[in-house]
Amino acid sequence: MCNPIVRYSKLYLLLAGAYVRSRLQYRLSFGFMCAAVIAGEACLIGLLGVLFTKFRTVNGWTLPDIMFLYSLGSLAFALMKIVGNQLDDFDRYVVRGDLDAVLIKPVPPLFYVLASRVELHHASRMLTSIVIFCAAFYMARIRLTIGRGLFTIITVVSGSLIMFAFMLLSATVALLTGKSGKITDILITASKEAAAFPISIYPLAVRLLLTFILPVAFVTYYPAMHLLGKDQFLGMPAYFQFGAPVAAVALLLCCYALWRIGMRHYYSTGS
Amino acid sequence: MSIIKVEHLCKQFKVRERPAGFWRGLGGLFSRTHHIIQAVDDVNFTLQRGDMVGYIGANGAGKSTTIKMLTGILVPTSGKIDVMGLTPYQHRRQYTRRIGVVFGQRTQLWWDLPVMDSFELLKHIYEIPERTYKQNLAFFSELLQLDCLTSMPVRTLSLGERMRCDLTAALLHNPEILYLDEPTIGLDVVAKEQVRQFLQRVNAERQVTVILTTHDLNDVEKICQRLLIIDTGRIIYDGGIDALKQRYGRTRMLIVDLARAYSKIQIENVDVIRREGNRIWLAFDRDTISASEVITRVTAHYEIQDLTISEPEIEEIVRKIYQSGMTD
Ligand SMILES: Nc1ncnc2c1ncn2[C@@H]1O[C@H](COP(=O)(O)OP(=O)(O)O)[C@@H](O)[C@H]1O
Ligand SMILES: [Mg+2]
Repeated sequence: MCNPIVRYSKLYLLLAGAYVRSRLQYRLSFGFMCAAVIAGEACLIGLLGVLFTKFRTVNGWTLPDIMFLYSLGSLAFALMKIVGNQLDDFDRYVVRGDLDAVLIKPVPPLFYVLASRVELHHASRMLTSIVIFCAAFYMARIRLTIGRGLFTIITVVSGSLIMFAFMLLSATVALLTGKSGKITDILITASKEAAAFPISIYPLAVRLLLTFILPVAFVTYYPAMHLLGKDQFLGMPAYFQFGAPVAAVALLLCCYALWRIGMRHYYSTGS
Repeated sequence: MSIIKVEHLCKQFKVRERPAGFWRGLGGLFSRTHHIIQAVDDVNFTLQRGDMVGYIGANGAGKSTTIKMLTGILVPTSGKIDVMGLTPYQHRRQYTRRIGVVFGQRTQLWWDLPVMDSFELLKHIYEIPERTYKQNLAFFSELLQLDCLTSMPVRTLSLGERMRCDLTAALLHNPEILYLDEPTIGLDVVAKEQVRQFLQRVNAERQVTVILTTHDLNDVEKICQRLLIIDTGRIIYDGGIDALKQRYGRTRMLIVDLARAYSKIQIENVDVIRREGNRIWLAFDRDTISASEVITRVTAHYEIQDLTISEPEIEEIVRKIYQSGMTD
């Protein structure tokens, strides 16, 4: 037995590699998925551009500001997709009893599930997001410093952890009920959309929800205050601009605890 | 020394009557409209190291549920499982290193990859030392004739070939216990026999404790010293195969297709246990009456089209056990 970090990194690569090799037999679909992802992103940016030829600003936010916000969210989303997409159709895993085979391995189940279906085409999403983000960074005239660079990286990682926690939550629902499709859609799609726009456009109740219950505002809005040098905390304390890692860790711990409970209630499948 | 100790083991499944639609489905999470299936009901047994035990029962008897609790997949509703001093679902990571599991219904191999890739992955997952791995692979390859299979993608294998690979996969890390859930399901006679002989050798030569579930009595007839028969979640028989045959296995079954419908069928010393249209199932005790005698009597009174004799099935033995339980 060796160092757990070495062991699990190696295992992650091996399991992910095995899945990628299985998928390679469907090369066409890989290319197609990449193209679909890139086209989807491009359409959205185009739409934003069209929108802003009509309105100069939205609540004092210019096109580069919004693009910046959007791309920060989509970076977090892309990172989450690469690491955690396996939980997307977790209800299938549960209903078909595929989790049985996972539970008899001497490896933490969540690790095993995450490692064994890494979809490479989500890397193309990452790439598009990086391009858009760099453009927005430049257009919004933010000066790049080491501090800002680090802050951005921490923000993106925290944001992806927050979205990952939502995935985990929907997977837990799947464990308990054998269904999760709609919940995943609502949590993930809603959080992605909500992260793309300044929360100042929403009424107070929604803003509170997006801050304290489903802390999507920490994925983009509050950190963007810092990076864009804005001061629209809408009654929230200004230190929320640094709050993303705290929100991410807190949410993740809660969702992981629920997941553990869900695992104890896993029913497997009849037959 | 006992290796597996199961006490008052129960598993209930709450089956929700889940309303259709998302919101109502979500409400169903908290609602009380469910019924309870008692899949395993107060099961007790102790196994010794090196035992080879058949766990048999009809479909839906609770075999898989028991195996899933023994392997740590399911958490028991109540009762205790102690395997080698561990509680399966609690000490999962430690425990699973020491057991091997085979599900006849689905493979654990990587479907789209060559068999060898699965073995290599398992080597890393179980941290099998290179030397052990090589030795085991050589041993099982020879025993199960895997040579020409290992380079083929799993999905291209026949059921029997896949089972041979699955058996190897479950044993590469030298488990002390091997659990098999319906390892012969769907296999042809030859492949079934091969699996049985293999299990026997693994048990004898490597001192692996084996517990296998099946609904096919032939599986356990020659290779298991001990049988546990489960029905609707309860153990109804625990003992040797010979004693079982002595007491209950003397029944034979004659399946007759009648040429036309008869309103009443009555033959001395023969039970009509089932009727479906013009087909009837006749059970008789071969100590009391011979098969040819039964056939003579049936053909004497009724016009028949076709007939077959069958060995006793697990369902029939279960029926007998209940019958004798009531008269005892
Ligand atoms: N995951 C599950 N959810 C609900 N009911 C189940 C589940 N698994 C098994 N059952 C029920 O429990 C009973 C025993 O099933 P099982 O252990 O699979 O039987 P066997 O393996 O002997 O055929 C059956 O009535 C089955 O329908
Ligand atoms: Mg079964």
